[in-house]
Amino acid sequence: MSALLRVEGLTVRHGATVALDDFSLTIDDDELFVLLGESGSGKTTLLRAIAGFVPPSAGRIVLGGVDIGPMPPHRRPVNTVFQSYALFPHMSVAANVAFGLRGMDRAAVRQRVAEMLALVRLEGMADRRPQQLSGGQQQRVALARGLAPRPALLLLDEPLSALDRALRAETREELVRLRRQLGTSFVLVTHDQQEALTMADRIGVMRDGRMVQVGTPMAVYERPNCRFSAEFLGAANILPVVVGAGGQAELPGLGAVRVVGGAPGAMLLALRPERLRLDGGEGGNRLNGVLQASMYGGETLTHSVLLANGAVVRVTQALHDGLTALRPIGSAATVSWAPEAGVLLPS
Amino acid sequence: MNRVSVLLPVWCWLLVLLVAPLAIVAAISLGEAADGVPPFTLGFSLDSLRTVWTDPFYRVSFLLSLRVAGISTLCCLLLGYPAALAIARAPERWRDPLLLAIMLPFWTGFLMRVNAWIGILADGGWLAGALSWLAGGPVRLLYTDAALYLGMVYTYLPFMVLPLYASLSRLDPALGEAAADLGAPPWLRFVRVTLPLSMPGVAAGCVLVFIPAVGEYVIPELLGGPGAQLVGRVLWSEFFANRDWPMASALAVTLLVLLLVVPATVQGIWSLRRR
Repeated sequence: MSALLRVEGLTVRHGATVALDDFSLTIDDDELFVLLGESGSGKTTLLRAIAGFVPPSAGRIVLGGVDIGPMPPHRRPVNTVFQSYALFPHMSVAANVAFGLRGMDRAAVRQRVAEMLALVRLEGMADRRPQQLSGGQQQRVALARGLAPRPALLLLDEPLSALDRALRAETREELVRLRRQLGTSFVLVTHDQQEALTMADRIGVMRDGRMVQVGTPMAVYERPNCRFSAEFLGAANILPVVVGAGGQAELPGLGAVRVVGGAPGAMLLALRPERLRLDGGEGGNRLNGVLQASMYGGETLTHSVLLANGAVVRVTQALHDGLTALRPIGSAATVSWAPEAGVLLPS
Repeated sequence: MNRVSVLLPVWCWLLVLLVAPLAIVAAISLGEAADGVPPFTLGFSLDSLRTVWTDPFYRVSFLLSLRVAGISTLCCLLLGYPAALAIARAPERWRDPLLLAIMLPFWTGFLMRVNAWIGILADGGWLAGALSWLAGGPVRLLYTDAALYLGMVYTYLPFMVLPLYASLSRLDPALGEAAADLGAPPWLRFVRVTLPLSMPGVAAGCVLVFIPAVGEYVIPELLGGPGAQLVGRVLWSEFFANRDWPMASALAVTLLVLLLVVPATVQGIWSLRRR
């Protein structure tokens, strides 16, 4: 794989606030890159800067070897699927899809539009107005319109946020399948971690105009590199820990545990709730506590256990065999985990 | 029952203030002029209406009024559209002051403003003076068609700008961005997105300018030349100079019919295009 887009030292200011701070990123050919962050993290600003709607105050945006930074939006070979879709209400679905097709003869335009509508399964809707379509169909028109001019890169700004839950799950799969089929790189912005984990080839976690961590979903989830990353992507129990030599560490007020990696000194131990066990597991770390609450979630049961030092850890139990009875609240509970399940983070 | 009682005041209002006066005007147009107070006798004579519709003097006057109103509307549109677009795209905090500036002249008397134009355009006035100096010979402005159109456009421009602004400011900026994103340069974005989506505003503005402009009396009287015999002026002189009330009423009725036909046609074309 080679680099398709390189963002180098990009800085964007909105008045006094810095939306993007000396930001760098590389997008490869044929990948779905998901920018994940809270609102205000700069992810939408980055997308708009790539599209050309936000002038950077410093840095370069290089697409396919060409610095597109000085180009106005209409000259950039990237297209956007807007969060609100921004379909032209006075044009038919076909005219919307054909909008970006210039310099082609009529027959070629008609053929490309038909091709794109078939791709998003809207063949019969060519003559409808956007307002006559459902939200999901409008989303697909926006996608077809953005893909029709064969952009080098498609930018998608929270494309699924306006859809309801069931449709969103379906559309995720659809988007991934479609992108693989076309081989066009997508940069997708979302604040939904589930969306990021399920769709992305790579995830970039953003915070305050900076990239916190970049990697495959598995890498970012299993090996977060900081507290923000660990807590933003999935749930995490964070316990302060003093790391000693030879894999030994001390949890203040709780006792000694075994850890993997880390540098001697004060660190944070991140433990995913689903990697913890309640009253079971052998050969691992054990902490005694009291069961404070159990939350039933259908497929899982999440326990809150109060430890001796006052910290509460969450333990998620997968209900492979269903559930018949809950443990009594206030009963003694032992939390255990394998040393390699914990991740040490800088404090 | 309840709906009837709620709407009753509205119907009374319309009856007393709209239907009754129109019925009176229509009735007078069917009467005959006479010496006395009031200066007409009621009857059922189509003479006045027939004269209005056949006499070339009145026909010329109607055509002239339609032409002046049409050209004025076009000028207002060409000047007002960029103004409305500029206001709609100005930074948020500038929009209200700019709109206020458009409406501000309306807070002083209309006659006073037209009289001020007399001062500006008069032979000794500074505008005519400056133009004479540039042209190297006497330039006449007041009591010409130029003065007439200037007065019309000046007076009616806000009626064009406000509905245009209303429709332009409601446009989703994301649509312009989407067009740019899909490769449309600024002029194409205007032609294919902004302009078509602002057509309701264009239609509203044109109707709001055209209709009062057709019947305008004060501006041609004070700024226009003696040849500018627009319907408003003719109507006034039938009433007050000739004391021919049936003829004046026939003119008024004819003007009303004409002005109902124009917006109805616009509406019709509009709804046809929408389908």
